[in-house]
Amino acid sequence: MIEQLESELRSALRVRAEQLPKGAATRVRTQDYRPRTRDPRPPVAAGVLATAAATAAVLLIDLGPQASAAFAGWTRTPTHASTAQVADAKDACSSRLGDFSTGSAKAMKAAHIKDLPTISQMTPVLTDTRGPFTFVIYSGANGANGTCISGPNFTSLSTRSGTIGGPPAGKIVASFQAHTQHAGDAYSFVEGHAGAGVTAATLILSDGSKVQTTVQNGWLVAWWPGSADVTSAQVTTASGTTDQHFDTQPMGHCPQPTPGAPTPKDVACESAGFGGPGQGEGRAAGSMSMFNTSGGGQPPAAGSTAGGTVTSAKGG
Amino acid sequence: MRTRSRNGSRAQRVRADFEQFVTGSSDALLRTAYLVAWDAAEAEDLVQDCLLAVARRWPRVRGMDHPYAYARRVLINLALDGAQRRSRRRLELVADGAAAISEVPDDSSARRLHAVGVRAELIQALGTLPPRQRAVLVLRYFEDLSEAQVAELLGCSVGTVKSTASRALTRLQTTLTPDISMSTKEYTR
Repeated sequence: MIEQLESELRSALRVRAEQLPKGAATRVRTQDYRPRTRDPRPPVAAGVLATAAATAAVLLIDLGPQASAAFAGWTRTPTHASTAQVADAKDACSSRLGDFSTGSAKAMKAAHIKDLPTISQMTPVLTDTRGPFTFVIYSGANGANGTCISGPNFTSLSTRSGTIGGPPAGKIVASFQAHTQHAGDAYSFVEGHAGAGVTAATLILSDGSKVQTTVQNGWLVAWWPGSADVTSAQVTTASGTTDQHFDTQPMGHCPQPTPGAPTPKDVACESAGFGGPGQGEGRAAGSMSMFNTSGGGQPPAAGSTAGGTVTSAKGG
Repeated sequence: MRTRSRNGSRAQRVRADFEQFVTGSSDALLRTAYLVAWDAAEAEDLVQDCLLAVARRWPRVRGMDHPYAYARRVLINLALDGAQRRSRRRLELVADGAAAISEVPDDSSARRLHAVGVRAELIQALGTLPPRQRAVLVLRYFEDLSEAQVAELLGCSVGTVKSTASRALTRLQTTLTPDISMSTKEYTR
């Protein structure tokens, strides 16, 4: 009886193994597994305040087995979202939290990254909506924060830890920028803080376009399709609008997929740090961590006290 | 300058070796991961994590007699570390699978269908096993490792491997028997 079961078992395991989706091996083989090392480059910006410690590490996972190839409906200016849209987005984010927490723990362990927060330990502090897309920033203790962007066909989560110095009144600080892509469709986001009195801020991108941020509870965020960098911002207070320049780290972008090549899994390829606002004013050390891409990329930038690389993506 | 060139050349060889290892081992690692984790997306994640871990230690691993065995050990440990996550997914699979069984057609090829049905139910039952039990079965009956090899890989005694395998097989038998009877009734009515 047992022998018969063992025979059936061998057969069943072989059959089951053959059911593995054919694209899985291609996706695994096309990942870049080169170990990352700490970047020898100097700190992000000169004059960084001692209190503005760099984020230790970041884990950004782009999730969404049916992520869209486009961002139809996205708007440069935040839109008013229905209560239902926001609730649905938060539900979508929550439904991913368990996987994210356990998955990130595993990935962090594999990459020897410690002390990254889980979003379940945080509370929402900002909600940004652009058409059908909802972006939520979560904040927790000890500088932990995370983001969740949810659209019609995908949900992407990230968390990071560390403390960023707050901006002075009337200024903003962009503490974190990320470029990610799914199936060749890149998108980027910037999150940061708004100083007292800031009522609005519009980001100027390297391609000359503008994206208006959402400012809530001292936080700000904006995101856009593509991988253009932020170069400056127009910051509005009660006394008017002023320009503010950003010292971003020179960064590579998500490599574009080779035409005809197999579509890579969702990848979060890069995040970048910023120098602080203005000269000699309150600065925030940027932070970043580099993530694996299907086609290589740049190594992690300075500022990490516990650098590392994590590859963990689903979809595609 | 010459030293730097030699170092660069060596680094290239090490990298080329690793890429060759990835090409040669990823299929097998994926299949094993898929059988242990019982989920394709999870299997991909596990293999990627595994290969990242191997990449970090590749200069040492490439000198081993069996780098694949090392990678498989890393993979299994990663898989068992993430058991809780997959446990939740298994419950979903059980629910889906239950619906699928009731859709087995009742036609004249009863004998053939019965054999297929048993295998399908066995596959389904495998998906309900605790990860460690399934890992032992996969290593024993898919990877064809000896009990001693499985014990070494899992870092436990041979007796533990035997008892774990025994419990898993008993559980499969228990799970299968009612389903097989039910299927037979369906096919012969």
